[in-house]
Amino acid sequence: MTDFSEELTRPGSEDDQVEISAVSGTGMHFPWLQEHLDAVATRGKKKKEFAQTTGACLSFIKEALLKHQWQRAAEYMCSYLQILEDFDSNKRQSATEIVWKLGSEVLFYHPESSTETFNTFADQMKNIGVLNYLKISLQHALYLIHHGMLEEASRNLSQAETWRYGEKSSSQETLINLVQAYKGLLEYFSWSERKMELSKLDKDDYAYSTEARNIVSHSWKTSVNFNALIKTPGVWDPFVKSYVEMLEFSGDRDGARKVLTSYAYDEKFPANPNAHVYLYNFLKREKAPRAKLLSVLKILYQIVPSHKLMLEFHLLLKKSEKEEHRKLGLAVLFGLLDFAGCTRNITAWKHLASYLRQILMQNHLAWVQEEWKSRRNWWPAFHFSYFWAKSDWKEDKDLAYEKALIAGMLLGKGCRYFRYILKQDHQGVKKKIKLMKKSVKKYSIVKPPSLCLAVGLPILQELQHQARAVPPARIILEIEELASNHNGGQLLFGLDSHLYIFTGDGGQPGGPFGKFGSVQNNGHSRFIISIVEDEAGEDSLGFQAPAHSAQTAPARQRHQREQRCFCCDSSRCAISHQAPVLPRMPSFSSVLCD
Amino acid sequence: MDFPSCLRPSLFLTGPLGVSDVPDLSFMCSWRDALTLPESPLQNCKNTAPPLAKTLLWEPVMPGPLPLLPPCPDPWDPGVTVQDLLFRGGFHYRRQPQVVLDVTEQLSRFLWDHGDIAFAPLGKMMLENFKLEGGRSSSSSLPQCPWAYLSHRLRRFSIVGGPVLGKSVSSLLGRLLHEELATRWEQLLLDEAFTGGALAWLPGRTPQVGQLVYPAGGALDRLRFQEVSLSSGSDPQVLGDPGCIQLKGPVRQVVTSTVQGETLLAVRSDYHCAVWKVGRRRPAPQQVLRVEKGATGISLSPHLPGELAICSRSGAVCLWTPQDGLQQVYKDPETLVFRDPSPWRWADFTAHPRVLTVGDRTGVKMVDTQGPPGCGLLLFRAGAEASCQKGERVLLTQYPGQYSPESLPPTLHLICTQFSLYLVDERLPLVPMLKWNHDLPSPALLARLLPPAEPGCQQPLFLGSLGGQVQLLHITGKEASEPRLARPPQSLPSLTDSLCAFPLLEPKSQQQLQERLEAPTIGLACASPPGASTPAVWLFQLSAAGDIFYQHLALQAASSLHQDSGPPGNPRAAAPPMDQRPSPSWTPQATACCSRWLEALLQVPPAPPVWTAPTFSHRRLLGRLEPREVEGKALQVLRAAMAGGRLLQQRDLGLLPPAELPPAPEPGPQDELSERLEEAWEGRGAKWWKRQQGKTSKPGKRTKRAKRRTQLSSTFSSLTSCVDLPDSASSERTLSEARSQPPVTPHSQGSARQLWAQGVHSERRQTLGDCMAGLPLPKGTPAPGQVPSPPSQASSVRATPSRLPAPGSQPHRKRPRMGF
Repeated sequence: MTDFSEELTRPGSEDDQVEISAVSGTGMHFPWLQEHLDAVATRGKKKKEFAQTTGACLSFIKEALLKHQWQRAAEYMCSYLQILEDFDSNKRQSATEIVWKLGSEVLFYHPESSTETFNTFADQMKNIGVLNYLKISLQHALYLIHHGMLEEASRNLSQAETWRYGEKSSSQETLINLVQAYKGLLEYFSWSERKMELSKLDKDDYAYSTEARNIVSHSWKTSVNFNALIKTPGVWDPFVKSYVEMLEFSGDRDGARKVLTSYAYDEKFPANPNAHVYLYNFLKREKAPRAKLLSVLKILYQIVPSHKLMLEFHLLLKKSEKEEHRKLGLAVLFGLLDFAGCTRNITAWKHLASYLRQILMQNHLAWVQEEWKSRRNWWPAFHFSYFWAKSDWKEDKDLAYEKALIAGMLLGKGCRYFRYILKQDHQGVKKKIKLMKKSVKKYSIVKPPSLCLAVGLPILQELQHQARAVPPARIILEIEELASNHNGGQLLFGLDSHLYIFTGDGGQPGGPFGKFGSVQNNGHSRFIISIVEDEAGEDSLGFQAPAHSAQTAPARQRHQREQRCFCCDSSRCAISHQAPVLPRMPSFSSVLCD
Repeated sequence: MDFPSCLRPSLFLTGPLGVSDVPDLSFMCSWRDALTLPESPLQNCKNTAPPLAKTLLWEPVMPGPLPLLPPCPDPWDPGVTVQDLLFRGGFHYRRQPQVVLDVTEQLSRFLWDHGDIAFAPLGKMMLENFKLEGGRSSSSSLPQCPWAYLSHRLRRFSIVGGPVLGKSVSSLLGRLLHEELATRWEQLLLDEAFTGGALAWLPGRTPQVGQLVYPAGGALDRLRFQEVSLSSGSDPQVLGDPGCIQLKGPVRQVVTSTVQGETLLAVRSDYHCAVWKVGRRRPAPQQVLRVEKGATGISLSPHLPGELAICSRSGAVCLWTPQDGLQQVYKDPETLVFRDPSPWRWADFTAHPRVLTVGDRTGVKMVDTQGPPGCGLLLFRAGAEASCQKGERVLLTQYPGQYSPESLPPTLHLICTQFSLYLVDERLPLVPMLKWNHDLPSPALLARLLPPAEPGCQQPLFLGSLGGQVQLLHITGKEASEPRLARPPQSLPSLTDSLCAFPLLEPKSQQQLQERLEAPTIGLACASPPGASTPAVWLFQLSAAGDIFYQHLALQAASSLHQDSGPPGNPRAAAPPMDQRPSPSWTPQATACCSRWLEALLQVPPAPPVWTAPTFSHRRLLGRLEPREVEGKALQVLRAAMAGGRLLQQRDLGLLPPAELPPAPEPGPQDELSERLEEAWEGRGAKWWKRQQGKTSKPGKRTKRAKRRTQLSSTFSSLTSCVDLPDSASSERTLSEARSQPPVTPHSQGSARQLWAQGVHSERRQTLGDCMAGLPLPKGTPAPGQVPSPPSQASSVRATPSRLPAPGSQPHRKRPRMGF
């Protein structure tokens, strides 16, 4: 049971807050509160009939819209328009917005409505809600663009652009900027059309140069439209893209770079991955030095490690001379494969396999181990489980092969994924599998095998020869720093069907022996481990403490992932015939969490 | 993974709401999401074709949900209502809604009903010190006034101590009661216990068979596993008796997840969480976790088998893995963005198996479980970034998980507030990819996303609220494109919609049925058997009363929606528009199923009242009275009915002359009201009003005022003019006919509120129609007498066939050109 003790000492101020919130409100708004209140209130000023009827009508319109009864909604809409005559000016103002919102929705979806009807409605609404002129114009233009009526949309936007009402507020300015940007986008469309025509012309033609000059001047005019908006924080992908294209065409590379850099690096903007992608693509077109490309991609790597450009980043890093870069190249690949959407990305697996081989050949085992350290406890289940081995083999043999190779390298030959692929008897891949076996043998990072493995494996393999029923060898435990004194390295099968592994001592008390020192050093420990194999099979291997050692020596329990080990001090060991058979440890326990 | 190469333009604001003076761009309508910006005009022409090909959308096949299982045998009591909690004399119509808890009423009720509890302890305390019976005159056998024996000492004490004792007891009681009422009220406003839903679908051995996992029993403490077989042709079949696990607390949330072929089931109770591994045989328990402060959320990893995240009221989030056991990932008693008193927390997974999202009412954060504690990146903020409204709070965050190349990218997160639904991509935090203002009238705590039925199809997202309303959103978008709504969201029939499939009942039973159907929805599950010949989605709803209802949705070709119809010059697609399709109607099997269910429900004993006022039994009295011989038949029947405890009905008394409309009252002195009533009674109300209108209206002024509206309304009436709907009088008639059939009661027509609203509407419609009559009508607007009636009235009448006419029954008239 785990307990988080600070829980108990927290002052109980929470209850007071709850009470206040119930009565005076937490600041949370409940849209259904009014309905509750209306259900109980009996006294006081009643809502005017007008408000009641329009409220009911509004709810009917909403209901009809949600049921896709456009016809019915249109009918109610006719009646709802009376809200525009409300005496309350505040309500009238908000009513225009509601009418526009609902009305445009009805007209957008109604099967009988046409753009003509929509235009009429929009033009009228623009003039009713003076304050909403810009917003409505903008949406009207979007509607027209969507329906392919670019010219009309452009006319609409030009009208809105020159519109002024009262004092110019900053909100108005942003809206005008938006209007201008959309207008710019429309102009960009016509510009790109002309550019297409130009590309059909012969370059030596006289007409070509005049046309080109025209286009350049056109782009110059258009780009002014974008200028103001893209300084406001936001996501302006289509605008920035077309702006940059036009700037590039007119030869203003510095200007384009400036725009892209500020779009990508301005603190006030959201962390938009596309901003970095655009900058990277621009720099690539410009044939910028590799260091610059790397610095852009490095930021993209920090934002979106799963981006598809990461493979390109990896290739760039791989080619770099700097050691630090090549190390990052490995991290990039591992990072990419962490994500759920990338698990079947065969290119990434291929890159990883070849890069792992390359790195291990160059003796950078530490890099691999560093990356592997944080993943060793979940990658095996995430990528290299038995389930994935089966399904990968069924669906994509190439992928299975690459993954098996990596599994073999990272987890050793005992890994289930590797073993499953190895067992497959497929004609086409025999050679491949042979190659795989070879490279796993050569590059496996569990290479410096612990003594236990070295000692234990021969026995298991021998057992395997004798009886077919025994599953193939696998690592069940790794022990760091096996000491050779006090029978260290000895394996004994007890009468209780436990396997006893003797880990030795480690010298004098306090004596310097490796990282952990001797067992008497109190901190870390050398221990006897007994292992028992469950009848259920290999899945439920339990580790238990031998009772006699636990009785005779002070035992300390230590969790080492799935093992339960007991450690005790011992200097001699042998199997006694009176060893008691142990009861099983309970496999489930209730754990306290908070 | 591919990131959309070009995102939709949007403003980005930071910080709390209303700080900067920047336009509110949330005015954009729902159709904004349907709009597409062409990449360039040339590509545009090519690109419009492919999406057109695959607009298959889910449509409900049934007019309302049907019960799947017999009703839960435990009685259902709706519990405390608003009327019990709030001060009933509260003021109507305030700008700021004000909540006043009615403590005095509750306290006085308590003192009346439980006087012994309220006053006895005090008496007992006093009893030790005082002898009330007096000493000397006890020998007298006559009963005497007890006040006569009060000693001086006692009187002094009562003068001095009376106010103190009386006040302190009642104030203590009042304080406790107020606290309790406050929590109850909070719970009534937002019951967060069932966030996530307590119903789950477990896929079974074959695609057609699966298990529903849900809590049953009055206390919701029995976890049931009911096998259900789904075939696209018929209704779902319940196979065998359900398996059952008895738990020690009420089940609040049930989550299932199938990872790498291994199915896991996690259950959250108030103070415990548990995980089972579901295999071929019995579910095997994996782990039980105790949460001291109360668990608020549990979620299973879609990536690694057996991993789960738990969060508690203390602000701690823990990750449990089969290898490492329990591990605290995050702990912060404070909320993420700003201070909010709510202890509600939520945790879910992300596309990275080692990164979790941690959410509370103010925002959602991504936390790396392997990184240093406390750090992370905000994914969502209830503030200006997502252009939230004032007072908007997070109610639910969900990671849909389950990735396939044809579905939405695995980086999307679903965030629900009381106003809107957001889809946020974890690669571009804080900027929602999609926002839909759902406008649900109760908290939206349930959401389910299904994979696409066919590759390239839309993904249906079901958004359920506690009040039983379910909305269906079709979301499209693969990895390389932004998620967007394939068509406007749709509300699915709710439980109360199937009220008319049940046979008509006496008011009391009708009330019981209605209460049962109006019970909050606490679980939502959906199943789509893969590989079926005709793809189908089954939606299951669990109500707080323990009943499960199902709905069937079928895939249908989308009708002519504008967003894909290309340039307006094109002739519209041939499919009939949405609202002119025949609406589904109740089949005889459905009504039979409902009446069987109802029969079982009526056998459920009503909830035993907590306390009732003492009554006397009339049956005992009846036995003592000698029946007199002179009694008429009516009295005898009455007696028999009383003895049986039945209602006395008309048919018991024999045939009565058929009820006729009482004759119109005699014309009295001419005043306007009675004249109007008289005309209305005869069904000529509209004409009278028109006449009256002609007398009193001042045409010049009215025209001026209403001109603007008429112009606008002509836009819509041009749409309505082309279909011929029955006039209002005929629909009124059908309604009254339906009413005159015994034993129809107003309850059977839907709730009283709806009726009221309908009444208001028809009246309003009438006035408006008449208003417009006074104006020079543009050609094409409907004549005032023929203002179309809302089909809702028609649909509320049982078994009335759909009265929507076939499309294009009248030639399309020329539209008036308004404006300029």
